[in-house]
Amino acid sequence: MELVGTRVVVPEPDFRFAMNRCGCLASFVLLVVISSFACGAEVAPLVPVAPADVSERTFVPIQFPDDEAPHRNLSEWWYFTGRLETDDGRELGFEFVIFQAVRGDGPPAYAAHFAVADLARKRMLFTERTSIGLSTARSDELALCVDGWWLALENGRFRIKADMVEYGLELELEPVYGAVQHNGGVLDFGEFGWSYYYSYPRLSLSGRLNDTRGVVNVSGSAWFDHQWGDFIDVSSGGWDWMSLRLDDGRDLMLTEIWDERRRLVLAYATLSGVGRPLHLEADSFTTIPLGIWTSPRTGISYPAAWRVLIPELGLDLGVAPVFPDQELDTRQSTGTIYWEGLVNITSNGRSVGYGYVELTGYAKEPGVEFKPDGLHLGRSCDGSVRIG
Amino acid sequence: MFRKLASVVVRRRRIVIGLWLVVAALSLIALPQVGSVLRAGGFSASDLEAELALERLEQDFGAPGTPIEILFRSEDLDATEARFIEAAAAALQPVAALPEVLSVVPHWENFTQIAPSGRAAYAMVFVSLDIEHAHQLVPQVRELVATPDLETHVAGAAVVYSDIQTLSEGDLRRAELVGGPFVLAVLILVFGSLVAAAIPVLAGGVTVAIGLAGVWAVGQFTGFSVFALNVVTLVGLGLGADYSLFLVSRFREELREGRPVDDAVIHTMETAGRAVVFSGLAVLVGLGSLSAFEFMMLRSIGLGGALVVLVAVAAALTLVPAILAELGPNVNRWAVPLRRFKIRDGWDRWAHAVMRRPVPVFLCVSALLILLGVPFLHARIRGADASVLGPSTPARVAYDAMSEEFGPGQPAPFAIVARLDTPALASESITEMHALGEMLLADSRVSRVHSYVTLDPRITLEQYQLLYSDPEAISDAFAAAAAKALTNDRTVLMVVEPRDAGSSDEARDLVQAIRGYRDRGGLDALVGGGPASLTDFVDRLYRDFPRAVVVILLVTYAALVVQFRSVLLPLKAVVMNLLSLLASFGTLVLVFQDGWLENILRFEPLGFIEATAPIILFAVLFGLSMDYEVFLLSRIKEARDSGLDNTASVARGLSSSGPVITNAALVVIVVSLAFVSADIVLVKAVGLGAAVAVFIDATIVRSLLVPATMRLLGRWNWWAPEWLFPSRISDLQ
Repeated sequence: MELVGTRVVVPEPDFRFAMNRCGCLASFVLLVVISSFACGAEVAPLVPVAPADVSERTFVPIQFPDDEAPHRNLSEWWYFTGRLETDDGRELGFEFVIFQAVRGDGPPAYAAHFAVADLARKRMLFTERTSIGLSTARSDELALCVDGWWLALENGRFRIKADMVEYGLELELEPVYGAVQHNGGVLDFGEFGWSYYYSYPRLSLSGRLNDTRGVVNVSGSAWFDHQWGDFIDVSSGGWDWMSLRLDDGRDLMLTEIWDERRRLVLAYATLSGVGRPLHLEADSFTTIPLGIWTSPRTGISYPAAWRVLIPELGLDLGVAPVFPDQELDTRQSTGTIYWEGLVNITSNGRSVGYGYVELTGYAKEPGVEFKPDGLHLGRSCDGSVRIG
Repeated sequence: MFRKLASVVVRRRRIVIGLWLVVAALSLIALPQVGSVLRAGGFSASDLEAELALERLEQDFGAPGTPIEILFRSEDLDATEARFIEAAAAALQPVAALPEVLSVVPHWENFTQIAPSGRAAYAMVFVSLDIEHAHQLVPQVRELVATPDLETHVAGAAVVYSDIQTLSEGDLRRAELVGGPFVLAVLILVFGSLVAAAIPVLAGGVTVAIGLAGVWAVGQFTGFSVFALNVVTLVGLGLGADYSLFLVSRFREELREGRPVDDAVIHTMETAGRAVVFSGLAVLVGLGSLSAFEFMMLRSIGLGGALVVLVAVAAALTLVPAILAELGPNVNRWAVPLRRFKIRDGWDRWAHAVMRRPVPVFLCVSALLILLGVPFLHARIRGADASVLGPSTPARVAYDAMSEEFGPGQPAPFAIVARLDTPALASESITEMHALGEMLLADSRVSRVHSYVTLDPRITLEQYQLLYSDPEAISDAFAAAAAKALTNDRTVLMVVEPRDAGSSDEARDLVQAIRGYRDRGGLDALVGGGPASLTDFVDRLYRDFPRAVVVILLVTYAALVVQFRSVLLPLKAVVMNLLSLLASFGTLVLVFQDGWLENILRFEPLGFIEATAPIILFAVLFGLSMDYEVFLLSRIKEARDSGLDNTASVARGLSSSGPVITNAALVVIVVSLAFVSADIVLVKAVGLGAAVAVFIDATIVRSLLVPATMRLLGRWNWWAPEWLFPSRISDLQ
């Protein structure tokens, strides 16, 4: 073999006396007179593979409760956002989410985010954790543990437990009404993939808050999203997502997903809570950003308030964060920086509800990396063990 | 020349003996150090594609160090459970603290290191020592990672090397312990005298000791394979004892004929001594031919073998005659009252019987030898992996555990290192590598592919292009990790685990298929790693082997032409030698590939023949087998030179050399069989192959084929063209 420039010139494989399958070397005596001969068996070449045809993909309808449990799709998450009040009258917003990612036949990898927005102190604290799922875990029930935080579904009620430096929450959440399947239950993200998606837009919650003042009982309501499918998360694109709970019992979810050139990939809304869920197409609503907030930590600018117009429903809503700084820098777990915060909803100047807004894809920070060192593995669900 | 040398030795016998004793004593001091120059590897050459691939990998990705794999396994814990991870982390902590350890990648940092069963996972430990030296760390690593909570195994090439080194030294000790007493017993049986029997043992021992000391001395300047130790011992003990046996036998014969001691010694050296030199030359050529190979493993065996042959010949030409001269008739002292066989007349009758029916004997024996060699037609020659070690060897147990948990191809994945025209994360590069990845994943010979474009079969080409569209902000954790570890600017690393073991036909075919694709598509990629290294190694070996064979045959033939002053007789000797080797090789296939006698010899059949075994065997055996032919033909020539006709001289030669060749062969067979108890299949194979070849040579070839062919060729046996030996009057005139 010789190197010529950067190209490598490799001679034909030399099979002389290599005695391949055919059983070369007809007789050793021939060695005396035959110094070399070729006898390579035909080697099956690599065969080009035609791309899979995804145009005819069919989707099985979501099955409850089976599909509440984890799947082995590329991406999946269980997402809770809500507002709660303590017995002593304090108001808090919270976000608790577990992400699952599966690649090939490997065990699932988990990341979890937990954030608490303290309205009185106008401060949001958050933290993140990661873990590997059990390779041999059952997948027919929802019982997830991420480094000591957990989520379970028992008898139609969700139970979550998470903690951080100043706050610990143990909640039980029960859907007020049934699951709402967005867009018929399946979303097509185009080249990014597809996803199943349903929500429990309104859950009543009760439980305990453990903070610096001790343990207090809490109550409130929350929104739950469950999404899974073979889709990829691309930093160059992003989405705005709003879950709005109106005091009149209506619950509204609006989302706009765009690609790296900020071209709209998908936009739709779902109204539920009163009558049958109503699916709204992209042209049925308009969200108008009204301000910008720039993070003092990351320098990333986010829309800071919106006007939401849905003429078909006669809605003209103002949506504004309870306080601006609700940015989460979760590069250690999911590699993203995003804004997810509790918002107030107003109409004609008066409060008509509250909600949560998520803004992703605004980060332009380079060097977002997966950090294996950030995996704090090995704390079991009872929190008894921790491996540094 | 022989007479002159013998005269000097006889005159200065005590000085000669004294000098040998001094050298032997000095050698004994060096012996404990021999292990320090031995290496378990030596299977690579810098211009092999597999080596170039690794070189490119180091250039473009940096040298991570030599890997050692630590496998953790549990019956009741999942590898991702806290208790499992806690135990593994605790076990790895002291290993990570070793100064030679560069980095440790546990399974919780790389999910692909978790077995599909979920109950096992391995950690990669990278050490700063190269593969030839990393094995020194293995015992320490084994000790450190042992934990009561998990089943642990230490695996990898360095570990195999470590066990080969340990086993090889153990094999040698066992062979010496078993072989030494048996050789002595055989010699006592042969000579019926303790003194006479002790001389070959002494000569063999001195030869081995000085040969090994020579290995140590030369090893200061060049690497030596650990297998050289076994070959040096086998050849040294066998030849040392054989040569002295020939000399002692001849000397006693000369004494019986009434010659004075000094004359007897000188005449012995003129006849048997001369044969020893030609025989030694044949062995030297055979073993020396290994030095032409570029692989250190074979080269050093050749070098060590050549060294020990020189010592054996030197001992035969100086030490043994000096001892014989000193002992004189005392060589027969301390007789052992054993009944000894007198079969000299039997040999004479036998020779005549064979020569009465030369054609059927020739045809039947040739057919038999070829038949014995037929199994060699389906020989599968493959490079060695851990499967050449015994099933209870720690490295083999670890290899089997890895294969069991991850599939047989995991212990020996291969690496495709591609340099692309555009950056690895550019759309064109992704398209190119994705196409290759898809083809590999669809191939039934492939188990798994690790690359930045084969993270999951559900991710499409377009999605990979999207994932990597902003190389500075890859949000998908898996993609980011893969891009970081497996790409560097325009270079891409793709790791392929074959479905079958690295030594399998399928893995070998896969390497060829990938290289074929590369050659057709113009992709600038090099394929290295386990199966590729084995393929390249075997191909290169057998590219060079024919050349070595031709050199051995030509030089041996030329030496025999000079010795016998004939052109046909040496040709016949070479062909018959090849026939006995062919039969030996056939046996090798039946036993080590097909598993015959596996229970008796206590080993697990490999399903293939380790690539170096036929070459080492050829090199060792060609000379060894030729020994008997040379001694026999020398005696026939002596008889013919004394005026006997062809048939009578053959009968005389056969009868006069009969017992001594039988005894010499017995000694070599005993020494060789002692190596059959080895734990390393290669050593076992060389031992058995040598025993079979010598047995065939000393029985079938000598007693049937030689007299039959001598009779058939008649006066043509001694024909040579006039111009070749002008002073000689041809028989044909």
